[in-house]
Amino acid sequence: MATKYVIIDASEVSSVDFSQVREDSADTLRYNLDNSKTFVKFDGSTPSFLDGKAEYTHSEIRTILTDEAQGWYIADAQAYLDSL
Amino acid sequence: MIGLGLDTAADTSHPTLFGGLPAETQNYSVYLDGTNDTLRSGSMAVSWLKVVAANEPFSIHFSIKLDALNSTISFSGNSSNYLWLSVNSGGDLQFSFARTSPTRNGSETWDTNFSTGTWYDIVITGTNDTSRDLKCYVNKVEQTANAAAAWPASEDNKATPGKFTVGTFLNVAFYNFRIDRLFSWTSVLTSAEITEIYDNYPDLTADSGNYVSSDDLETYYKIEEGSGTALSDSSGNSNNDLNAINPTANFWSSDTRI
Repeated sequence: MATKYVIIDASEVSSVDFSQVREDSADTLRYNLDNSKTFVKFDGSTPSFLDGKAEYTHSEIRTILTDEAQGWYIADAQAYLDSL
Repeated sequence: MIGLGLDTAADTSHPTLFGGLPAETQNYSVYLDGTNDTLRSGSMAVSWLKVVAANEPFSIHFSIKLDALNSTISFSGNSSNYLWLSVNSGGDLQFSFARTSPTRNGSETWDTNFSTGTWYDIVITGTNDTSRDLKCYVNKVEQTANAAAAWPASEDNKATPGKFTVGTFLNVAFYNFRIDRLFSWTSVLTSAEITEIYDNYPDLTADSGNYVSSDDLETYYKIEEGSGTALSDSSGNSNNDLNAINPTANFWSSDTRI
């Protein structure tokens, strides 16, 4: 059963039922670089709190997460370190 | 969090053990999907890379199968005080640290020329000379080093602050790979020992054949649990579990080097 991934707004984290997703808690969520979005992953039926939202496969979410233009990714980690 | 299954899609054929030596089982590796999952423990001082300690020799071992190059394998610390193990975009393995107050750094890069989709068995050794002599062996063959910045042995990388992590860079980038067999020693393994481990994968808590460093074994994460989210240390040295954070259903993988 393939894992599905759904991007949500940071403001929606309070609505996440962590018993229905792979993440343990809000503390382990990954946010985009401006902290406006995060995502959760799940197997099987879509949890009701995610109804109507776009679902991505692993390949699709990796494409998003490794595209610097979409604000999730740092291609040059050393340059990022040097910029801090 | 919902439960974990097993990635059974990969090759499950393993060679038959022979020779009557005590040998590790090699049934599992773990897979990080590169979205938001990591391995983590409370601190560097009680986990895999703890042996990179002030004025001490060390050896570290791991097996890895990358889905992509330009990947961080392990990064612990913060933006100015860290210990970092990575593969660059050309497939070369890099090991480095930085520290402030006072500012210090060290690094080594080896011409490993890794490809994706291939298992590699890796050992990095470091002497406790004033400037460490660092060596890297891939599949028991010593690699050519380049682009080194002297690594002072007096630097206590064991004291790197924060959590020890595998598979993420500062929680802003994540990497997908299979990883297995995280071991470390407080001595420099010889080429003969590295060959023994690569060829015969002995139980590392006892000397066997050319392997004579069992007394120096400091961490021994076999990664053979096959279920759950805790990877335990079998060295007997009371090291922390490595905990899987946000694992996927195929976290436990039957795809291993041997």
